[in-house]
Amino acid sequence: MSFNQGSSQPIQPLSIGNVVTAGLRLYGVHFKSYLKLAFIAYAWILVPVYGWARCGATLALISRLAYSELVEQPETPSEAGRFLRARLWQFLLMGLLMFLLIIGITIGVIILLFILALITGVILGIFIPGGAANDAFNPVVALVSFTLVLVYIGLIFSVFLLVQARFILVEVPLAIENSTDGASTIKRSWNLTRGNLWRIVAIIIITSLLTFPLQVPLSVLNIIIQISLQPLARVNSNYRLLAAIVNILLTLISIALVVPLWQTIKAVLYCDLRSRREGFGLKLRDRNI
Amino acid sequence: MHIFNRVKFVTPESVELEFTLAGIGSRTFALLIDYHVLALIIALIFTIWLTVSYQIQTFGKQIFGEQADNWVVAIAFFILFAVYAGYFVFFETLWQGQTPGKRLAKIRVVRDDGRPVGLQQTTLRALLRPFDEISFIGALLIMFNRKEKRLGDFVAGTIVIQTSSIAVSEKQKLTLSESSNLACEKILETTNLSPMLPDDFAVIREYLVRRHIMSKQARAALAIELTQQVQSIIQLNNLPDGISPDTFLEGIYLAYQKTSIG
Repeated sequence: MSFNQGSSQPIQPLSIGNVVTAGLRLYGVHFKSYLKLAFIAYAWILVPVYGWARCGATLALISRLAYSELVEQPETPSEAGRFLRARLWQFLLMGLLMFLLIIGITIGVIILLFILALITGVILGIFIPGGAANDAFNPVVALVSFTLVLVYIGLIFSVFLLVQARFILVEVPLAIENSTDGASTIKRSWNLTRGNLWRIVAIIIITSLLTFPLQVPLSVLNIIIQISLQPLARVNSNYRLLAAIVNILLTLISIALVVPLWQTIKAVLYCDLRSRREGFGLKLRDRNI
Repeated sequence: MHIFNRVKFVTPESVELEFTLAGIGSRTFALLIDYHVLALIIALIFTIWLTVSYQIQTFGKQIFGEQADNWVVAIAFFILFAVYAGYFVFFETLWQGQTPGKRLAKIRVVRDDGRPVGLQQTTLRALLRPFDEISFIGALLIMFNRKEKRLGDFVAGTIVIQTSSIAVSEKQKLTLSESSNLACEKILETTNLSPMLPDDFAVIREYLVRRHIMSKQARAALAIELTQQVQSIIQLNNLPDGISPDTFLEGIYLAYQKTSIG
């Protein structure tokens, strides 16, 4: 494998594009087995609580398998699956913590936006007394409001990117490292991604762009089916149900098609970040050989 | 299994050169950057056009009468296409197969036999670019054929290769602490470095270059680990007094440079 070119050369950090290429290649080589795992994962979603843990663990399993390929110690899905099932509930704990974290951040952002609006309002009130009472168009108020909206958009967008990038790896250390649990794996993702925010954002954007061509055929098929079912649904409402089921099914298939790509890219990113942040792979040659 | 596709060239002197193909990730990244630059350029031209087009329109009315509006729109579209295609032709010809985006992504267009591209190749690639981008034909082609060629590459007889496989070492400079010279002298006095192989020094150099972007704990742990490995190779039981593993590795690296030069 050229990721680790020859035994004497350490694992090198990868460029932004190569992280994506490597992820895509790993998915391509193991297409059938990873896709099967993705379908199994989404089937588990239907079972409450236990199924959700299984879903998280099965998706993380794809990352673990991809990682095992990268470090040239390939595992079979059943071997790796046994490791992950042993810490199944940690995946649920992680999911719960992430859910609370994101809700917390969202509330924080909303409060911040509210405070910003309040401050702007007070400032405007002091400098332009009677601005609100005056019905006439006030250019200063309009300009300030417009700026405020821009600040809002910038703020929301950057918080969104920050959360996406810094927590992108949460399930990977839990699936790979021995001494992690559902809480410490989140911290691990935060630490590993430090200083690499823009690289990760670029990787996320590139991967999203590349999932378009993979999903387009299914979306087109879905649209064709929906349109052709519409006249039938007007006559018989049962067809509306059929259309909804087909819609859900095709959407699930198209998500399952690209989710292994995200998981393999996360595995490559994990290797890359460990190599950058921890000198992973830097080792002098073994004398005994 | 090779993660990245490779390509071999044989020069007329039968020297074999091997390159890594760019890969869909780097090519998308380059395109992303290029389109942002292109958008800026087009925005600039559009601003200029707003003022110029009015004059063209009034002038055109005297010649073409009521048809003038169509002509102005036609000219605008022509300029737009010229800028869009011209951007890639201009940079790829001038910078030997690179555009600003490709430079950033560290990739380059070359001919199938490894020679630099000329005006002919870059023009063909640029003219076929719109067809490659309609319904992602180009992206799918790059993903699914071994030579990673899009339509434009097939017609022009070009491939896209990586200019550098090293992502970090170039940007980070090797800086050594002040105490490293002292450590180096002590090491040269007391130890024999001959069991160390060049590969080992390459690893130590890699550590010294990359340590600044590592996390603190990981860096300290890795320094101790590498130091122990060096110690077992050169059979040194104790580190010289007052030298940390980090400085010890710096000293080893300096000592190696001195012995290999002297």
